[in-house]
Amino acid sequence: MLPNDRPLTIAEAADLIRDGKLSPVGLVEDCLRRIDALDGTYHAFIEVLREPALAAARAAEAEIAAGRWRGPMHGVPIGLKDIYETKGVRTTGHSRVAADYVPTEDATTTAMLEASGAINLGKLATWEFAIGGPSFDLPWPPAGNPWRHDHDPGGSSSGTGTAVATGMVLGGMGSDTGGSIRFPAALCGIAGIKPTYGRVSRAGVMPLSFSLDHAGPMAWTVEDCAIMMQALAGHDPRDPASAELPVPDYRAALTGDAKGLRVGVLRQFYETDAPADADCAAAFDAALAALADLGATVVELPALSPMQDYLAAAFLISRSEAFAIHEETLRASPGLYGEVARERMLMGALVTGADYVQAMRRRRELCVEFAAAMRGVDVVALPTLPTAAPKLGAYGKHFTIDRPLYTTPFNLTGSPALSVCDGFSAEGLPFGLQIVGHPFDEATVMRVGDAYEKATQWRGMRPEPLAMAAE
Amino acid sequence: MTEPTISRQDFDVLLARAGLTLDEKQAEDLRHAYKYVQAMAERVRTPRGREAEPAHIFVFPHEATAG
Repeated sequence: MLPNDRPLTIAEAADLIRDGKLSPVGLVEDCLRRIDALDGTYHAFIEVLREPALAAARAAEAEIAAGRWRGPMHGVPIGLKDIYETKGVRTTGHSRVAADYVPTEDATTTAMLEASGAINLGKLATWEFAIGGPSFDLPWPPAGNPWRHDHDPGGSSSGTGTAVATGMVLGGMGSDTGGSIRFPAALCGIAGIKPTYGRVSRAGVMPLSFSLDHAGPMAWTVEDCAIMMQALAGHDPRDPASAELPVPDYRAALTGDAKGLRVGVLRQFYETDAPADADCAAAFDAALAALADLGATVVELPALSPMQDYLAAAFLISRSEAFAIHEETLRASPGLYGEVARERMLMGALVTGADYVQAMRRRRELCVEFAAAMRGVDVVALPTLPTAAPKLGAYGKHFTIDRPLYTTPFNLTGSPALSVCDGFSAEGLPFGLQIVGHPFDEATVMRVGDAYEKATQWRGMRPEPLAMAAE
Repeated sequence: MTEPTISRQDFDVLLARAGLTLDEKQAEDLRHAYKYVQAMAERVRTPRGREAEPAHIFVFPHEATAG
């Protein structure tokens, strides 16, 4: 694979590596060449782990040659959002506050990916501590959009979205407290899944909001996300919220169709509560037609409380929990934070204890309401976002309040939720289709997303980052 | 920028209670953003009975019940 070639998916690379037709060392070297050629423009990486990655690739190659292939992640280059703790490797949170922090342990998910044979190419850009961005007053610049580098890639898992879409890595880890996997997945035109709360361990991932944080994978395709989910899902005693439930075979669930499934459309959120742009809504309508062609029955979901009710509860909970986590440093050295992270977290200092409890009571009511609305459907569909990517720097400090994302309600409900590319704006910037499932039914969510991807043309369209890097 | 919904004097009380020492710009920016907190706090106060439970209740930590 040369930097000008189409990057491989994880599924493609896995088959070639298993069959001895692709060298993990060669694959890592190709990704490193791509990073060398592109990252000066896209700023997806905080730190590239060149020598450790090459050493791991050599070890993987020897192991596979000796007949000990571990599975489809073995020898596959990935990246970690720089809030995933890595033993002996700096984990900065993209912040001056943690610029020199070197963990003594791996996050559970870091260790699980290593055990699967994945090769970590480095630590990826994020909004500061997964809340403050895009920011221009931090030690590292914000990542750029893979389709137009002067546009916003979304966040907070911005570097992961950009690195995957440009082929610098084949997959990566994001985290999602209000949409931080699905938002960049949509704006970067890739797939990203926020698993059910409790499905994938949060242990060792820098916390932002204990009760809303989710860890999950981002990759070019849903099939690749399913492969990563197989390596990531499962009970972890280090995470008090981790669920003790069996993990299904996610890849086996990808049937390539949606026969017999009922898809509920949550029209209220994107038509009434916070209207989407017309081109974004048109792309979504076309996606619904494609799902019907795949055998799904598309039905309207009953009315819910206004989306703003979901957002209000999530806002009060997330800001309070974030402030509690960062309270000591915000009191002692508020100037260490970038302006956006500081102000968003300080809002939590103004939330009273009673506000927080009322938000938690509202959360319970809304979870019950949404579960009732989902009775009779297998998944819910709606756009991921109301728009395509704006120019980098166009988002204001409180843009998610002024123009909400359609992702946050499902952090509140803890539901599994996936974003896949469902088309492009006239400017050539991607839109996202969001598919939401019943708790712990990531398999059906990914079945629908995978079938949609394989029935549409969008996975055949990749950004041309080298051309833009040369501009 | 719209007018803040809280006086500077009252806001300084909130900052002091939270143990925060901010410079003038940080404090004024946050004072202007306080309207969002107020709006959200009002929005979650829908009518409900005294017995309405929150989403999270006490759960024994794993460490407290293990073996």
